[in-house]
Amino acid sequence: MNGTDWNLRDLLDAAAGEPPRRVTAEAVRRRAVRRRAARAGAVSLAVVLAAGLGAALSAGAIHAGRPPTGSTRQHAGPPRYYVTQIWDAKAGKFVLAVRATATGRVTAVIGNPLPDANCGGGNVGFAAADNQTFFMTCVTEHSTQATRGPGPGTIDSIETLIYRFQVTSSGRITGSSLVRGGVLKGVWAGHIAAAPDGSQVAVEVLRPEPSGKLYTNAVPEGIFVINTRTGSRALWHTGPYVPGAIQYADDPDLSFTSGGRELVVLEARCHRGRYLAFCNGNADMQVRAYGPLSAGGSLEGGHVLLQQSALRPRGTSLSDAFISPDGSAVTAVLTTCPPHGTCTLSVARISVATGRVLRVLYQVRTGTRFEGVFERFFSSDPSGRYLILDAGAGSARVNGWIDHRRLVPLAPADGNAAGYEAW
Amino acid sequence: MNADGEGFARFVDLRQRALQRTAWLLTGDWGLAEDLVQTALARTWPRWEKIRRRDDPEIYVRRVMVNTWVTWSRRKWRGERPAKDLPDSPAPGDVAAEAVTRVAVRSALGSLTDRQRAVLVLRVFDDLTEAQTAQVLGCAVGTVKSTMSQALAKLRADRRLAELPERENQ
Repeated sequence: MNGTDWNLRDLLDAAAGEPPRRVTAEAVRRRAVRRRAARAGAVSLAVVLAAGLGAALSAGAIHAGRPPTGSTRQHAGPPRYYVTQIWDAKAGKFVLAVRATATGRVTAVIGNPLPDANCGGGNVGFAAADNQTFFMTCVTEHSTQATRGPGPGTIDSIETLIYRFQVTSSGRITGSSLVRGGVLKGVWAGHIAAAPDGSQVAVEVLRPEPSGKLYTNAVPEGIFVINTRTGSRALWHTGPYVPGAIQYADDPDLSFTSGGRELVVLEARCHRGRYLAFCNGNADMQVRAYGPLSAGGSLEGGHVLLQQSALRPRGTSLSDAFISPDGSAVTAVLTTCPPHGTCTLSVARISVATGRVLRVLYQVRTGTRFEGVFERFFSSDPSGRYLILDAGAGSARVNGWIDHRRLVPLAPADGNAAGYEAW
Repeated sequence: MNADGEGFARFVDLRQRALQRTAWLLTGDWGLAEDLVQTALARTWPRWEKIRRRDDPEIYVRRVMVNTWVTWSRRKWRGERPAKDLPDSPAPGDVAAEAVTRVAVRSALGSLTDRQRAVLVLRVFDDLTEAQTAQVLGCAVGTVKSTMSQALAKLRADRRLAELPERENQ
C-alpha cells in the first residue's frame, strides 16, 4: 500500500473506534436457532396457507368473496427456562437453580462464587436482563453473635458483591463473574433489577444502624445504579431523616425503561423511624421515575407515575409494579378488598399518562380480608410480555405465568415450595 | 461444548472486534454493525466444521457479511431494526476531534457505491490482498483493482476528508 492508503487506513481506523458491545458466540448461537425456528415456522405457515387456499378454492369461498376462516396468529411462547430459589436440604440453605418452564426439571444449579457468602438470597436477590443474562447479589458479613437471647448480634463488617451469570439455550450456566463496580462495602443489598440490555443494574442497599444492628434496625441508604460496562456508580440516596415527614422507606420493585434511561421504583413512603427501612402500615405506595441515571440524586425527587392513594375503588393496594419498556404503562398487581366480601387480586396494565387501567391481564378472587390475602412475588421478562405471579390465600395458592388471562402453573406447581422466580 | 463449538466460540471471541469495526465502516451505524456481524456469524455457524476444513473461516465470514450487507442496502425495509439509542460507553480522548473524523469518514464512505465501499474497506482497512478481496466479493482481481482506483479517486476529491487535520502515521 502507498502513503495515501496508509493515511486513509489511519482515518478509517480512527473513525471506526471501538464497538460499544461484544458479540458473543452464545448470542450468535441464539440467533442461529431463532433463524432456524423462523424458517421452519415460515415453511409451516406456507403449508397452512397453501392448504387453506386449496380448501378455500375447493369450497368456492374465494369466488364467493367470503374470507377464509382460521387464524394464523402465532407467538413465540414464554422463556424456556427460569431461575428460582430452591431449598438445598444438604446444605441447609436456599440456592439458585435453573428450571425448565415446561417441566420444572432443574437443569443447573448456580455455584456460590464465595464460600461464605449468601448469594441470591432475600426476597429478590437476582434479576434477569435478557432471559439469558442474570445478575445476583452475594452478601458477606462478619457479626458478633448475640450472647443472650435469640436473634442475630451486631454487624462488624458487611459487603455486597454483584455477580453476572449466563443461562445457555440448553439451560446450563456458563459460570459467574463479578460485575465491574459491583463491590459495595458496608451495605446489605435488598432488591436488584437489571436493564434489558444488561448495561446497568440497580440495587437497593441498607446500612446497619450505628450500633451495628441490621436485621431489626437499618438505615435505608438508597439505590445504587451501576454501569456494568464502565463500573461507574451513581447513588440515588434517601433524603436526610426528618422526624414526622413522609419519606422514602423501601422499595418492593425496581425496573428500567428500555435503553436504561430511567429507573422506575415502586416505593413505600411513610413516617418511618430513623432506623427503620420499612413502614409500619399506612404507607402510600408510589411508582416514581428517576433519571438521568448516571448523575444520581435524591429519592425525594423524581416524578410520580402512579400513586396508590389515587387508585379507585378506594382502599385498592398496589403491591408490585414494573414499567413497560417504552415507559408508557405500568404493569401492576392490585388487590381490592370490599368491607364485606371477597378480595380480588388483579394484574393490570395502567397508562402512565391517564392513570387508567388499559387492560386487565389476570384476575383471581383470593377470599376475604381475614383469610390472609397475599401476593408473594411478581416478576416480568424484559419484554413485559411474560409475567410470573405467586399469589393466593390459604390453600388457594397459585404460582405460574400469565397467558391470556390464565395462570399457567409453573412446575413444581406447589406455590408453597416456590422461592422467588425470574426469567 | 464439543471441539467444533469451542473453535467457533474462540473465533468469535478473537475476531468479533475486528469484524464489528469493518461492519461499522460498511453500515455507518453500531447497531446495524453488530446486527450484521451476528447475522453473518449465525449463517456461518451451522457449516462451521466444513468451512474450517475447506477455507479460511475469516474470509468466508467476511464474504457472508459483505453479501448480507449488500442485500440489506438494496432493500428498503430491513428485517430487524436496531435500537436508535445506544447504551452509554466511555469516550476517552479528544471526543470532538474523533466525532469530526467519524462524521467526515462516514459521509465520504457514503458517497461511494456499495461495491466501491466494500473494496475499500476490505483492501485498506482489513488489509486483504487483491486476490482475497476478489474472493470475498466473488469477482475478478481486475475488477477489484479498477473499483479500488475509482474509490480512491472519489475520496481524494472529497472536500470533507481534505479538510481534516493531518494525522500522524503510527
